[in-house]
Amino acid sequence: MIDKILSTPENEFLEISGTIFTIRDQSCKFLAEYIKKKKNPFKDENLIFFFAGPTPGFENGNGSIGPTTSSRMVPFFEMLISLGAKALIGKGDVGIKGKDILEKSNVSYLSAFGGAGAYYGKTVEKMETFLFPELGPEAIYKIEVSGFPAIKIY
Amino acid sequence: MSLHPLFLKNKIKELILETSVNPQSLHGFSFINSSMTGKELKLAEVLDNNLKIAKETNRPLCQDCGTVQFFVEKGVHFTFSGGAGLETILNSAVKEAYEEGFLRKSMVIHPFERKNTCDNTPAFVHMKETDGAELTIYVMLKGGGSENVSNMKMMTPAEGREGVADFVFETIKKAGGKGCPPYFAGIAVGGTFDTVGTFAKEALIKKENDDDELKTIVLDKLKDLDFGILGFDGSFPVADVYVKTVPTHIAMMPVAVVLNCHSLRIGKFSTENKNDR
Repeated sequence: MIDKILSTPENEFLEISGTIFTIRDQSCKFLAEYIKKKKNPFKDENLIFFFAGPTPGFENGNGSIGPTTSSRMVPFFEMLISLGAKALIGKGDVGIKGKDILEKSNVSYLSAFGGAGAYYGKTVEKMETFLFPELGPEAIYKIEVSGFPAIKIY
Repeated sequence: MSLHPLFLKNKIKELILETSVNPQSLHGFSFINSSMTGKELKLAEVLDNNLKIAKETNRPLCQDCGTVQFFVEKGVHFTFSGGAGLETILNSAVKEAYEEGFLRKSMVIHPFERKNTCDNTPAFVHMKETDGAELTIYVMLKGGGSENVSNMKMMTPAEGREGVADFVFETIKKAGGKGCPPYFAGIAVGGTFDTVGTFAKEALIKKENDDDELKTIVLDKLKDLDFGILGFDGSFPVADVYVKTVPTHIAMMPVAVVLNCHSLRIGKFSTENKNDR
């Protein structure tokens, strides 16, 4: 999947299928503390992170999920890349600083469609809590998606 | 007119669940128009499909299930049997709806401590006592993204409609894609510092417009916006604009612009409607 993302031209639509990890404000903070004391919790190398906080309905078969604003996560981009991120998905612009970090490391940034929670919810085939269950919607979830649409920005 | 508090709580709970999935405010609405092509058409199709999937699979329209706001118009002769106040009843409805409907709980108890209240309460309630004996309650579920890009300003009377329209334009331009456009914009002019924002939400909730002249100037200026659906290139940054004018002080001209994302989630309960009794 990573190869397909990296080779997609900028400003093009693409559909993602495979494993992605959700993360957002609080879980970024928690993860930064976590890796000070423990090893990289992610086993894979080509990681895709999705800045999002799902509704609890996935346990009931009717969950929704959608992107949150990526610019708030820029301070954590380098940490995510050091843990193996090859693509980040969120909403909106990441600013000059965010773009610089991504370009230096050859990491892609994709913009998903804000507020299309039900649409994205239907693309989720499997979801499990990966880290920080105490954070509820802000926990890190490992999800399997199929036909998840986005626009490649960088 | 009198209602049992449990009856009302259940009605409002159902209204919240319906508003989260298939809101009255978007019945029959489509994001597609005949001038759209390419990428913008594709985005509009995603948003139309979002409405369809939410309805068909009973999923929340947006993962941000919002802050709950109630606008209550309670007739002076309307009464409840039982001792609970209206705010207590409405908060019970919120709590049960967010739990039973698997809606995301997004409220934190303190702006600095940021600990989740875990039931999406408190709701914010605006009460108005009216003549007569009916009860009407509007519920609005509003996400954080579009609330964060709303704005207000204490303008001067001399700035007039042109000045207000410029402020609306600047607010929406600055918002860009951050608040998930196409936006539904509620504009209020007048009132006081504290009330103007509430009036702007009222304009949005009731989809009312009482100043065609301002609306025309605003719509004309908005043609210069350089983004479309969700902030990408396109021609559809604003779905609709509602204007409310309010009496104010001789020295003042407060203005508020409330932006709502494409998921406009508003529902209405009223004892004037037979099914709500």
